[in-house]
Amino acid sequence: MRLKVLAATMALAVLIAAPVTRAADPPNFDFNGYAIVPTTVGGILTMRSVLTNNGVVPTPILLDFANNQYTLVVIGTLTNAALTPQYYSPATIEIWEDPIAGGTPANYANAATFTDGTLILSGAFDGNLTRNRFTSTVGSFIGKVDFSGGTRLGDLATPQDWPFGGGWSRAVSTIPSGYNEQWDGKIDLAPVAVDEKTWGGVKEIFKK
Amino acid sequence: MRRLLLVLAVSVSIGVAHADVAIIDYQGYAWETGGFPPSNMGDVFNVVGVVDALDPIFGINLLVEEVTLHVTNLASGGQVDIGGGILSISYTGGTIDLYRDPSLDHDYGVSPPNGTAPSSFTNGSLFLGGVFSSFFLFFDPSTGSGAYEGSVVFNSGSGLTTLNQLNANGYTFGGVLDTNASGGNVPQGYDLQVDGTIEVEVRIGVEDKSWSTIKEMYRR
Repeated sequence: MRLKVLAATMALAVLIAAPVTRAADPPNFDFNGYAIVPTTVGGILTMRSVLTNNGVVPTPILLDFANNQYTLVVIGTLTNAALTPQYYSPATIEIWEDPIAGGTPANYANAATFTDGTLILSGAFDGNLTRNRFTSTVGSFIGKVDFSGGTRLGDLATPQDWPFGGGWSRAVSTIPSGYNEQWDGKIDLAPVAVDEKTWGGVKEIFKK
Repeated sequence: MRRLLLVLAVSVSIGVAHADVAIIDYQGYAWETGGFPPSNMGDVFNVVGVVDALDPIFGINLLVEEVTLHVTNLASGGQVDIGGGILSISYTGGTIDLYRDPSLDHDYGVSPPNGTAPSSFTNGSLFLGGVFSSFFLFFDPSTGSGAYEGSVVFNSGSGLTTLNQLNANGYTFGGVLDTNASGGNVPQGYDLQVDGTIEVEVRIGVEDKSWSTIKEMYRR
């Protein structure tokens, strides 16, 4: 029971007041969840998680953690037989918004609770989602996300190349039944391309 | 009556023999003296960060007071290539302290240590203080990413009082990204972005007794 409510309670514990963010911190989508990891080529990795920014760390788009729970799901197909690194392609990502009042809290025993509500962002990994294994208990994951759908897609300054990364552990004691490891990571704000121009070039833009 | 008490006592002590965990989620930034990589023997690894989710058992509202993290004095044993260019670094020593602070003033600044880091991460009151019994960092320079894990003994702070513990075993793990891998989202002068979790073991003690000792207790 504790595991079932943990994700929801961690997200809800700090939501009494309205969202407040501290501008000094770089924005990101911070997630914490659990993954089912395949052992054979063609197998499917499924990672279900909850966004944990909670109004403490700013998000790249304004999210209302006081009234909603946000879940993040990654699904990928294992393409190689090596123990490390493992490559997953295609791999997709979805971020869902579900009201706290009247919604269904994330429950790792019930996959559907991570994909209900409103799909606010969806996309695919640009190339591989790479999972490294450093020891039998700890490793990392990294990739880049191209967002292409969801109700908040238009709020992104750029939909391409959002850095995705973090660490995983099998040494934690809270892995829910049916899952293999805990994933703790972030999606960082995508770098916005800068087109270098001379002053003359800049002036020319505004003369058109 | 004595027999009844004896049975009850044994039953209770067997029933409470378990451990649970309280969870803390944090993110922040790290630097190592001399830069990273490389990690040379004797370099010191440091992290400052902020908690953005923690177990409700602690009863802290993170919107009205921040909980900040400071890891320091982890001494590098030097980097070892464990194959494929992956670096493994074993650290010794090291402390991990978390503070609760209503001033909400944490500020990473640039090129730590600086005027606000670690000082704005170590003000307020001590929430949890601990020492590392092990800490390992793994890093893949080809992708600019890695992970770490460490074992901790927490031995001070108000959080232990909340848990009704004099000390508690802890475990932390997380991922790291360098500036390039994070899309430039590492403040200037820091080496790595850090995102991790702490588990604090909540123990309920059980004292081993022989049958004769238990009987003796109820003869007094």
